Amino acid sequence: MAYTVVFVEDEEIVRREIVSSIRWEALGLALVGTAGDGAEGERLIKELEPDIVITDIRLPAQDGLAMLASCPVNHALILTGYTDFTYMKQAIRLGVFDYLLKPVDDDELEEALASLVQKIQEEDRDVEQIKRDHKSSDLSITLPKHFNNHVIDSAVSYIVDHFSESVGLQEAATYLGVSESHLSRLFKEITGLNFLQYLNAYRVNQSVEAMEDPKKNIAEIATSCGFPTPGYYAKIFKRFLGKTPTQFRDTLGSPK
Amino acid sequence: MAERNRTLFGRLLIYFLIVLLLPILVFTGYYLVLGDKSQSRYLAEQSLGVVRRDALIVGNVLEEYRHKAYQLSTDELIVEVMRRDDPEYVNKVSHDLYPLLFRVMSGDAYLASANLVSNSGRVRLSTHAFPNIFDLRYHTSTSDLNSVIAQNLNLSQTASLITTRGHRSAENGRQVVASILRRIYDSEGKNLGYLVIDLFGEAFSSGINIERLFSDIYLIDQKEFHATSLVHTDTHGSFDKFPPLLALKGDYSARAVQSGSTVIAVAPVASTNLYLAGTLSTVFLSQNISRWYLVISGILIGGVALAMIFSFLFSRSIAAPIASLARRMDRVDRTNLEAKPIKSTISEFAQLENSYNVMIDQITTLLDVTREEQKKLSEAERKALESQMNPHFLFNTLNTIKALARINNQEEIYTITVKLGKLLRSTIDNHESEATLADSIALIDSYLTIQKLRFGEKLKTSVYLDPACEHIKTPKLIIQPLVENAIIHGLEPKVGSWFLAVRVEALGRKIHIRVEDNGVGFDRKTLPADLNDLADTTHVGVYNVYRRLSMAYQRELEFTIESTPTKGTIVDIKIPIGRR
Repeated sequence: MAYTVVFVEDEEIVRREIVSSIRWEALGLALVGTAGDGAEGERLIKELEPDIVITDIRLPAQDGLAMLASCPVNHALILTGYTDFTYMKQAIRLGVFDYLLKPVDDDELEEALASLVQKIQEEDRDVEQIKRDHKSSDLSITLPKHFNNHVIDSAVSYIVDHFSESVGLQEAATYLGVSESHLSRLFKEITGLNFLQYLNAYRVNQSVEAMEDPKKNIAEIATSCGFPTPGYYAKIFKRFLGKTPTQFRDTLGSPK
Repeated sequence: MAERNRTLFGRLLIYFLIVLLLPILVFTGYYLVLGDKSQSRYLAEQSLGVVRRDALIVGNVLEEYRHKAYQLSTDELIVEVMRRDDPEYVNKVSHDLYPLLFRVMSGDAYLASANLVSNSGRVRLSTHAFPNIFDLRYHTSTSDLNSVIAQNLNLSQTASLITTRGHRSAENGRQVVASILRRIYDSEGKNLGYLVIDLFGEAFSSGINIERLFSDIYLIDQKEFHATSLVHTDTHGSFDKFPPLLALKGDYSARAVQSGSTVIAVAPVASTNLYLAGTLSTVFLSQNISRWYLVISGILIGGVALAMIFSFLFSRSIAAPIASLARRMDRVDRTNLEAKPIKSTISEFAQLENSYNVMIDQITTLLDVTREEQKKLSEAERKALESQMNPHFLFNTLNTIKALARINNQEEIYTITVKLGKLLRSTIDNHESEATLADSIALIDSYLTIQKLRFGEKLKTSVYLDPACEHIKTPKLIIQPLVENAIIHGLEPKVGSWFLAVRVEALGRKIHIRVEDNGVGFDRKTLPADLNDLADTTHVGVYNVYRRLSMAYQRELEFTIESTPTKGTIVDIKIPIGRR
């Protein structure tokens, strides 16, 4: 199954060119929608829930980064003429996969998309692996906690202690005093899971526990479990447990 | 904090006042507290000295007349006259008798009188008028206390009686202050009569109290409790009459006593029962001291006033230049810079002001220069801003061109646009001073791609980057200018095929960069021996590369240019691999 892509770009010629030039099928992608401004982009993303969003930053109505922050976006690529430092920092915080500068070399864009596809596939394998041990009746994802490796055990306890904050691989690596790439490689090797997937799975588990408090709404739960946006939380949740948090909560409430 | 800040002037004023007033205060304090007493003590000592000396003088006078009394009382003629007790005989020898008397008495008729009387009273002789009081014919009782002769009963046989008891006015009007009495005996020792020498006040008063120290001076007869003033010789009587004497309380040993406002000094007159006492009133002294206080107060007030004036002047002379300097510095604070002529006459202050003026001058110059530079800078900035185009517009436009080219299948336009975009990204939009060699080579690649599109088949290139060097950082834009130079100056003028090679590789501990072309080359002579002199030649592009590299690597840089006319040019650069 091809991964879905939404492309947001305000210049019509550029939009047309990218749509026609990129060999989507060959990359295992399906372009499901294009938008000319930030508001339309947001509506489209919420409707289509694409796997990948490609967007410019300077857009009418709402800029690309604000749009990404308010939607349940898993993976994003930025195409922009701007090398502004604050934009780049914001993009990194939003977990943007790559930041390509205009004029965009189409070959480079294809390369970036190819490596993103590869990454998504890896993540899917992780999720599948997790799902394999998981029956639909289970209320949480089974995550091993001990791996007989000092660094990974420390990384796991870092996740346990800091999941509610806005942290990721970079913060964990800094905290443990190892390089990001080393931690990433070692984590995958020892646990069989991607660090980020482990972190997200742990966060999802914590959110399930938090749902038991009827006074908390989904947005509050998302924030308290370290998800940057409720949309992103919903997306991740669905990937792991097959339902959106709201649906999940409904089924949780009725039998009791 | 602020309220503790006193002015320099105020502080100096206080210090100077203290320094100048202290001696004045100490001096006055001493006189006010101790002056009175010390003055009195000094006066007492002085009095005692004078009274001792005067007692000696009085003693001498008495001794002299005692001797005269002895002389007369033992004179043969006088004894004979007394023995005969006959006035006729007196008349007979009178021309011998009176000269004798006057000779012995030295003719001091105004100092003393000598009186002789026989027991019967028939013979009565005197250097003056014979005093009736000594006329024994009228003495009815031996207890007539006013008579000197009446006292002889208590007298030893040979001694002279010296007494002040017989005080009276003599017939010549003078005051008899003391009398010396001797008995006259015949050869068998029978008492024939008496000799009395009456001493007038003048006998003493002329020799004593010459300094006029004492207001009064008394001759005291302790035995008779009788005192006589030697100043006012008509004043005499018992001690009650002289209140100051009571202060002595019967003790006449030589000393000075102060009683109330009176100082009394007393000293014994040698070998007599007499004492001499001088009194003086300290009322006079107090008045003196009061006057002295007045003088001191005057000095004090004058001194304080002078001290204040001098303190003020001194303080001002020191503080004024500082204050003026401070005021001027304050004015500088308000951006009003101006040098002023030096005013202070104190060399240090003058120096300070001089330095300050020099400093102000320098600051003024510096400010002018800075303003000038700022003006130039803002002018430059304005010009830069005017000439600058928004790079985002440029990049977005290139992106649109690229998209159009792609849509219209213009592959060459597409390529040239993308490469130009990359080229501009790494030059215009790159604010780093360094770049990895991989980036530098990517830039060369973009550049050469564009040039190849321009020149087509004619330009052949070879670019090699040693993978070991990919991540090594060097100053950015060091290879591209050399490549550009090679194309513009080496290859463009040349007819025929062009070849350009760029090679970056690690050789030992060095990175070797070579840019080589087969262009027209140039004459070796146009290259200076020292590459630092390239700046003055036409090879400015090469010079800029050389300069930036030599700043980064200093002595570790090797930079050579080889060129042969018609054959081509080789630029070789060797830089260390390690971090600088």
